[in-house]
Amino acid sequence: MRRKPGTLLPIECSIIEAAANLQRQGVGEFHGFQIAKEIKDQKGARLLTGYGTLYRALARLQQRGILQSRWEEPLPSEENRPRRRYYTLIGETEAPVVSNPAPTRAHMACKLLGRGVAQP
Amino acid sequence: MIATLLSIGLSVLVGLTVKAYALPIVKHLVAIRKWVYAVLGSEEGRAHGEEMLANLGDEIEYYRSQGDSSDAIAFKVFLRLVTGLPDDIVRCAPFVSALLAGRMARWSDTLRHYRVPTAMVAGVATLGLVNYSLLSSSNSQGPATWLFANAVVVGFAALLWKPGSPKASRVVNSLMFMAVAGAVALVLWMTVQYRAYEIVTFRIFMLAFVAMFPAIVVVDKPWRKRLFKGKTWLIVVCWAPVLAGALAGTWLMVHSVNPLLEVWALMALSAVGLLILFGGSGLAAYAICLAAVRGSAGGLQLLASGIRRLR
Repeated sequence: MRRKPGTLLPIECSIIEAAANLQRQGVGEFHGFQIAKEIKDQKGARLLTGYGTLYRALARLQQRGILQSRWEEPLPSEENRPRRRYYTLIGETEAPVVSNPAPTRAHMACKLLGRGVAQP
Repeated sequence: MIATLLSIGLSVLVGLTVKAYALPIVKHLVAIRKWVYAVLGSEEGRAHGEEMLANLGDEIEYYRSQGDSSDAIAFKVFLRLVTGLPDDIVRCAPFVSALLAGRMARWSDTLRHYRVPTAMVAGVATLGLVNYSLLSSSNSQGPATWLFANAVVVGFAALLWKPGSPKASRVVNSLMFMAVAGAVALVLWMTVQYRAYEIVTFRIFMLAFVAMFPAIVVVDKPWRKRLFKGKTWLIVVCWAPVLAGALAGTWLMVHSVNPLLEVWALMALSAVGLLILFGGSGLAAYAICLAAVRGSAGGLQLLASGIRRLR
């Protein structure tokens, strides 16, 4: 799918919206699973977004300067898991996100950033 | 009936095993996804693989808090992997094409410029060719013949990786020498078989022929250098035994020790014949494979540049 420059895909808008929601709940930094769960809760979906789709969208948003990330500090040796990557939404995120039904939510989230929505 | 029952039993067993280990299996699949990216050289993809593994624990805890069983959790994680595959493929495509183009260019470069890998590829191809022709032959080949043919090809592949080297030229010279020796053995055998030694003209001709060998040794400088230090020794060392051998040979032929000579001649003939046969065909097969490998290097280069242009 080709998209016009300056437009966002629905999944990207969902991520932005979910990130804004998390910020309003006081979660300034979030990791991949948190954002996937937030999107699932918002949409009332049965499944979380696919790994490839989610992480690819997160990478694109980071490239466009909408998100920024940092790796978790080195873990204590007893915690046997890889380090998490935390994302932060940057830009005009203080504006309220309207909790409208699904088709318009992505548009609203994208409007926060002054970007259009690409049609899939 | 028994087969059906067995297959049903086996399916149930496999199903139960997969069910019991479903969650560890999908965990490994997530790790494999990360390593696929690592192999493809996508730093970003590999980093996201790390993230996925880090978040997997939270995800599994979340599903458990929802009351899901281990199987259900495994299924959901698997579904997430599968539904994300199209995006994974799209993301991997540039890396795969870059990797392919790079690899092809490197292989082509290696095949064009480095002798050892080229010789190895050609050697393996020749081995395949020789074994295929031996196996597909209607004549049943014994293990000794099979071993002999393979040994000849391996020897060629090892020695001819430098076609212009002294070793390689020595091998080719040896093969030519063996061909000459084979021809001599054949003549000897025919002499005995058809009693040619009874003809006086033939005897004189053969003596002259045998006497030519020392002349070759004297005339040919490399042979002289290899065999002797000084010219003084040549006459004594070369001519005397050769003349004695020729006389003894003629005497043996005339005074019928035919059975012994026949056995010797036959043994020499079959040994030299086999070596010439397998050596010659092995050398030809190796030369063909080497040419094919060198030719395919150009094809690989073409493919690599094609993939690069497509990108």
